[in-house]
Amino acid sequence: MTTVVTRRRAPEPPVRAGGRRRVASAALKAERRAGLLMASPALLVFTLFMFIPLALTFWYSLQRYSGFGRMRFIGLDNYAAIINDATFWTASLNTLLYTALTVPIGIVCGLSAALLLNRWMPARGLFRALFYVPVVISGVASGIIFLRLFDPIVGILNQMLTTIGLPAIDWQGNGTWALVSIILVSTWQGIGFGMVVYLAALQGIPREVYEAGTVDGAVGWKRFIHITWPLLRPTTFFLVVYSIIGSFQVFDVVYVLTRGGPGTSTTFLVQYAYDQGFNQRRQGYAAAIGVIIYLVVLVFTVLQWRFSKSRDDA
Amino acid sequence: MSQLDRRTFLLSTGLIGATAALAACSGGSETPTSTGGAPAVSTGKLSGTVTLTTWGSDQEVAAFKKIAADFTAARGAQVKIEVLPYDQIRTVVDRRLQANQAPDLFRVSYTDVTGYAANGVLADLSDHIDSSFGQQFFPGLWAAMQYDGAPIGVPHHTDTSALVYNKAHFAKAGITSVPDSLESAWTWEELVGVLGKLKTANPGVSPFAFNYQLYGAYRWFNTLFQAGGTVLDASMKNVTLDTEQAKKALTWTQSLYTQGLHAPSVLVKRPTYPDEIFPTQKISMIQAGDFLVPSLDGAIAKKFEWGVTYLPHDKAAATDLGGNAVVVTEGSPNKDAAIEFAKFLVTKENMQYFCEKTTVLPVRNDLADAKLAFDVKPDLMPVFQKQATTMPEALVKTSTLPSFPGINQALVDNMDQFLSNPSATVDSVVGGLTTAIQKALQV
Repeated sequence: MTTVVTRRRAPEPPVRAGGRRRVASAALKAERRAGLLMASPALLVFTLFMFIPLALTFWYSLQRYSGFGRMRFIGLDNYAAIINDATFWTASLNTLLYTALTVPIGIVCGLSAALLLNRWMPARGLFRALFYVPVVISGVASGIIFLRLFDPIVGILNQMLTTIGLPAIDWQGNGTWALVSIILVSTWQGIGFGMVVYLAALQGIPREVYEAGTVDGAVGWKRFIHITWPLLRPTTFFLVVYSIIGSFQVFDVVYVLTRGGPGTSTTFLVQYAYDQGFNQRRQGYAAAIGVIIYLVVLVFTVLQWRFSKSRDDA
Repeated sequence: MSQLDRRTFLLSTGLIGATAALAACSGGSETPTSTGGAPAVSTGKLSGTVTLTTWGSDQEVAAFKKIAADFTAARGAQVKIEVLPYDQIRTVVDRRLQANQAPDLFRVSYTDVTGYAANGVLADLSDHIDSSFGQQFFPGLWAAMQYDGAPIGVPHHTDTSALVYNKAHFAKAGITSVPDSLESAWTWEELVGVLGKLKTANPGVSPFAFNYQLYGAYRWFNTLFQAGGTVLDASMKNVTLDTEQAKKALTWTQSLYTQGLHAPSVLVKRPTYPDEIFPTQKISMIQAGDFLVPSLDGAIAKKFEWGVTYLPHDKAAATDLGGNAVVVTEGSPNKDAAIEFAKFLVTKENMQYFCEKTTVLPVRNDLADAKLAFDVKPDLMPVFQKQATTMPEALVKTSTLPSFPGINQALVDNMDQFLSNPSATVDSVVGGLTTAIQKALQV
């Protein structure tokens, strides 16, 4: 009996294990195929519009190339030239200054709008939509609207200022005011996105936390400092990193409003790369600037990805 | 105007005249004409469609379309006129060339044409023109159409700048007359005096604005040459801006900004064009090209009276070489029709028609003395025609160098910085310009 049992049991495991492996393997293969199939449209798009251009950008950065005609391999000469290019460093400093100003302003404005519109008020939905509208308007269209407003000679803003007895502001001829005009437009464009993200986070804070806080005397400003702000920290971190990445890529508003002027007062890295690549026909040089911007943005992207991953894992 | 003036000027600047060497450069020696004796002129029917990409005022676009329709009627091939905004055309054409989707023909300024030729994207017209073709045009401009001994385009027209002013603002400032000849044109000091009066009499209005913006930044060279300066030496290889004349020109230009005589926001880098503000009466006087007369006339309509007078002078009178050529791209799938249309555009009749409709100046020898019946403000055009006689030969040569786009870009970057910053020094801008232009010459 024992023998029989042994005989019956002994050969079973390999057969069953092998079957499971075959079944599992077939299922895995099918799953992989399905995954690949479903991801292929996105992969195709990313390959065409991101991976190939990225590789080409790096390749161009090693060339002397006007955009058409002959291309000459010059190794790392473009990068060496960038190190000695005073305008590149000016553009880098301007970009850092722009980032340092627009990111906190955007965070404060987005959070303020979210706090305001998170409570009941008449026409709340309409106000939320109005705050979000600038996000969906193209940067060029926004730039053109504000170009009319900021025009120092025929612009509405200066006409209003002079009407009430204030001096007109040279929004385009004065470097500081030109930078202010770009920050104002960028902030106007970005408030809606920050507001929506903060609104979602605010609505994710459990009511019980606030109730417990109220019992402990956390009301008004104290409630914000001790409950809301700490619980919004992950959202704030996301928005800070996202805004930094965005600020390093600012272009359309600058192109329409100031073209990087007066002088180099509002020349940012992407604007400078555009100018080199398209106005001066130095596409290799512009590509090298693009690679540098890519690396900077990559650092912040990895930072955000790691933070999100550690939070999800926790 | 005295028609002799224009011919005299054209002779003196090398834009016109019997310059045998340049005429010989017209590609004739290598054309079928010179070897076969028969002109390489195509007169047969053509087929297909070609696209001419251009910018243009309403009048220019209408003139192009009319000539295109005439070409279709005469030769059979269709011509599509594609219109792009002026400050985008260079970028768009460049990108299309990069993508091998270039238009068959495009309009290009004399200052930019050799930049394209140097990159090998323009068609060699040698096989399509006879030896006498180039002799029809002012030699200076036909020479600008040569690259490596081959013709790479056709000169279409020229234009130049003068001063456009608001008569009401002048009357308010007590300025009852303006110079009516080149000889009586204001000196720089007199112009500053006029601007001072305009500023006092018209509060809230900028007295003046230059047309130095973006691709037109090189028009600052008018001021430089008026001071007696030059951009390059005779070899066209060395920058000559570290001179008293150049420093004087820079100081004077900057002083107009610092004294509040120039519209502060009208700088160099942004497309804030004075001719778009002038009709709003926020600027009393502008430096503007004759090609703007129709659009100014349309925008101003009956709002106020305006006139034109001569550019100021210091050591000399000087104005810029404006104007455009038409080129055919090497990659055009219908090159024969494209080249034939380019040639059709510059026949005597068609050039005269285009100039009369759009208030620009012809570049054919047989039209140099012609009395043109300009459609818009014909009374103003003689001033531009006379002013055109003050184009310095050295400036014409500089403006048609292959490296000129880089020279212009050097001006865009450095002059914008200089004029927007009252504390910027003349020495710093001289240094910046010299370095940047020298670098452009080496490209």
